[in-house]
Amino acid sequence: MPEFIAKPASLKELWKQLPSLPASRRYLAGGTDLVTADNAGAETSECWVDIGDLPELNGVRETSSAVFIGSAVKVSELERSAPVRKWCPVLLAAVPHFASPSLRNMATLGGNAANASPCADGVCALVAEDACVSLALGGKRRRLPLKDLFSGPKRTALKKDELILGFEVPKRPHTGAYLKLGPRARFGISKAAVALAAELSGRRLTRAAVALGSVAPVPLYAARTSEWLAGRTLSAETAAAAASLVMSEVSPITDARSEAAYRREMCGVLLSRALESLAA
Amino acid sequence: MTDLKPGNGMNAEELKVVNKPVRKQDALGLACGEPVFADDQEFKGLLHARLLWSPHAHARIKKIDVSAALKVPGVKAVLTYKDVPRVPHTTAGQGYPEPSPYDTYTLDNKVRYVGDRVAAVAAETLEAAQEAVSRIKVDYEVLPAVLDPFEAMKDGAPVIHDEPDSRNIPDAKRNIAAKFDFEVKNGEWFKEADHVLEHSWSIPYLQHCALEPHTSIAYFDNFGRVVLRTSTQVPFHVRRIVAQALKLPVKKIRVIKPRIGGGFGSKQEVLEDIVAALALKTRRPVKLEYTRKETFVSSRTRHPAVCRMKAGVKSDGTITDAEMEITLNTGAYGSHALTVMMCSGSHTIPMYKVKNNIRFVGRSVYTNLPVAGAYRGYGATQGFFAWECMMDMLAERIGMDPVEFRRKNYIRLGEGSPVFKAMGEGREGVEQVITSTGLFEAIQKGADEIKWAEKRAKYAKQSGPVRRGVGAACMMQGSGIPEVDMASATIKMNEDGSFNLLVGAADLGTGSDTILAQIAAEVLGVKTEDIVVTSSDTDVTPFDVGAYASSTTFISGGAAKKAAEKVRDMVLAVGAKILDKKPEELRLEGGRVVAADGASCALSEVANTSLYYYDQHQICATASHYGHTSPPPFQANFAEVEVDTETGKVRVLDYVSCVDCGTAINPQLAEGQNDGAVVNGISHTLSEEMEFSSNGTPLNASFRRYKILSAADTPPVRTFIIPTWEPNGPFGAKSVSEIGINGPLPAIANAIYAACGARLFDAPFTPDRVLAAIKKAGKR
Repeated sequence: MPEFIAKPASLKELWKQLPSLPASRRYLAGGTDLVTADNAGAETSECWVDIGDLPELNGVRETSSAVFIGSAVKVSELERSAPVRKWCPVLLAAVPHFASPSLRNMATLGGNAANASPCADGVCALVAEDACVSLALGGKRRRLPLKDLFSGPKRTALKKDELILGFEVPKRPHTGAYLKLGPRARFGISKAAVALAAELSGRRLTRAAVALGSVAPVPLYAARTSEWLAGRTLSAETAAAAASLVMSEVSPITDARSEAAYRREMCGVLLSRALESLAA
Repeated sequence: MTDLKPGNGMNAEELKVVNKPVRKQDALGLACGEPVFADDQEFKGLLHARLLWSPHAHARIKKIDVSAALKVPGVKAVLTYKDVPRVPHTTAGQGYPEPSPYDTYTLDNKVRYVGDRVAAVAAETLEAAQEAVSRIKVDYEVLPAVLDPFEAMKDGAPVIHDEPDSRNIPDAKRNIAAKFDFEVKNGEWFKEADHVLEHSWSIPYLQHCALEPHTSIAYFDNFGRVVLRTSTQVPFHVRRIVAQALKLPVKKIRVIKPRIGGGFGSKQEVLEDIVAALALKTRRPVKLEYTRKETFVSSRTRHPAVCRMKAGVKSDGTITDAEMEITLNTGAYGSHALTVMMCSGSHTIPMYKVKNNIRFVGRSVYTNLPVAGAYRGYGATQGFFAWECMMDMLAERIGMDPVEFRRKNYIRLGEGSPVFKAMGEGREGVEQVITSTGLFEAIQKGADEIKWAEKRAKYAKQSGPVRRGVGAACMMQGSGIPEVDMASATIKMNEDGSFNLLVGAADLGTGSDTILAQIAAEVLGVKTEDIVVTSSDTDVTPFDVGAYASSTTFISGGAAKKAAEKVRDMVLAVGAKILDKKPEELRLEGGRVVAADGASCALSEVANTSLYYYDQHQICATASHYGHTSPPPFQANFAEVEVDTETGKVRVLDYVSCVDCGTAINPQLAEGQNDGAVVNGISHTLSEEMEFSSNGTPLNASFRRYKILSAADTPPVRTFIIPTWEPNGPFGAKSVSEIGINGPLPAIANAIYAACGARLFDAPFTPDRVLAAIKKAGKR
């Protein structure tokens, strides 16, 4: 643990404090990545800035066109949020797959994104939800499609001290699924995960977004598969064709958790099952 | 045969305390967080130990410089191989002389695996000790390493134990730590067989994952003797082996075993020499507590194994020939190398009726990987995986129901096996026949509970990607090592009619204190709460080999019963004086001495009479016990699984485990122990595997990466106790602690096959492997 943990009471105070803090500093939200990294000796910053209770980062709000989920909202709160239940079916489906009940009480979606692991379940679901991420640095704010936040494993487009305020999920009638293959029921990082968001008109997919976890250097938005699916009718043939297309779009590796070939194949199986679950 | 009613099939209805689910004696204290574990006691001036572990799989220490380490403030001692006696010994906590090679040194000038001991530090704080460890400068001559046992046996392979002073290594040049061959030959091999099948099964490195890591504190008593407060299964072996390794007289060492947070075999290993050496050097109390990573890498593991089997069968279901060739990887040292290997055969082969020829070929091989040792199951886990899968394959080949085929071929009451005599633990065994068996009742109960026939028929016709199947596997184990394991117990009586029971037996969370108290209470006609148990302290309690080989209930229980019987006779003698009766007319019941005519006196009166009034003496007795046989417990396991044939994911839907442990002294504890063993085995089957890089560095030595199943993954496990009466056991008891871990690998493998037609030969059955097997079987 660093010697010093700053805990500003508001965003305004945060920006005021930052210049006086040690240069080697990191934001602390739920701590489920940071503290474990620290325990493992892999975290060496001199100062943590605790943003977990910042009011600007908390709460789920509904605007006329979007649901705004604060970056410090605990993952377990999502299940209880009426707007999330109504407008974010993929995210909602991903929650039970996220770590474990105890970790979900600590972990935040902002941390899930800032950590930029390709296996992040919350992020993968939000990418399929077509979410945008709101960022702030001092007075400057910007907005990015969430899928563009990631540049590689554990690498993001975040500038130094730039903060994730939250995620905006557009309000649109849609349905979705989140399927994950992990080593066990809980406390397991996925071998492969597929998030699917779909707007349906009868059995026709008017729009689809497919995102995948643990099968690329980043939480992957499968652009080609998503585009191909738009306008198709749900059927076994569509599922099979989408499955083979998505397998060509991912770039999994072999690591301690799984084999590349197995992961690639599972992307197809999981997507095809996700599509079948919509048809059911 | 002094029991009430020897004979098979007796029920234990007359028993008052035994066979009842009395509360575990230490349960409340443990649940309330009483400071009972090794690390829960505070010591003034305690130093903290840290070890420097080898970063190389195989290297010679050319130079080691500790001067910078000694300069770290707070550092009190740094030990290298130059500072400790060089005594070849084994860390295997077994009876003396241990059947494991003497190939280990407290510290050595050679390291043989990543995680081997290089040096030890004691300092005022853990941080200072760690800092000092990082400042030890070691100049290594890195040697070629060998990680595969089959490579290690080849000519020209690196020789891991090239030191001249090791002893009892059968073939150090070929890295063979132990070998044993055995054959029964009654004619030409496979001549009578209509079908011959052959295959190999493998299991990987596995770790015990006891909740409490290895923790030891060495301090001094008022006489300058070393006291070891340590998390061990074998206090008396710790005393002997530490004395041996450090060249101390046994009388200079006292070993205290407090409550233990699980061992499963890992604490049958004597690793306490180094903390004792640090205490002797500094003359201060020193604590060594392994981190979780150190527990994974530098304590002990299960022997990885490749077991090849070739068996012949006649179309009528007779097994004609069986050949079993097992190769164990014992890692860098040969702890339990011979005995685990022999038990893989001696616990399995006698279970099967093999008409003509039997051959067992066993090798335990050194490699530059972590040290294997005792682990619940002890070779039977490795052996039964092969045997019970082979049984399924043979049954299928001749078109017989696998359960029917098993019934036909298992050993029955009154039958023996040449293997019992030929294969003991590290030496010749003893001849024995089966004196109790509930195996066939267990099979019937399990088949009924899982709905075997109904589900076999139902699951024969399935479509869709998700398939279900049921599989069976049966096994036996032992109850202690016959004519090797010995236990003793002392019982003394107190004024209020309570008794102290002093046992060397090591309760490591198993509940043995409670069941030994139940046995004594049954004999003495009192409640379990009237027996105050102390276990175990080499200064206070009489000798016991310790908790291993499924021995405590059977062997230590026998000692507790004999001691109680001696004390009973002493109590009756005093009671006879008080009541003016003959002792033969008296019995002990409800805390009183009771005469046939109803006259009685309280035990407290007996105690007070003996202590204060008349013919004054302490009512107290010690008794010892060892077994001439090792009656096997039996078990029938049935698993129902669901296999996702597109992802390879296996879900255990139901697991029925029917166990014959004779009389369950405490049915609730017995069930709990079996449930735990089964879940441990399911975790092996589906998930666990230690992984290493190509240079022997452990890759997943943490709970983060080594996946044991969580509570959420635990399937319904249903244990049923099938009561029998073992005439040689205390109140008809046999063992129960290990057997349950051996079932899941074969039962689930067989169930997977029944579900989807894919045979799994290599554990664990991860989705990747299952899917590959399904593709290979061409069933998709």
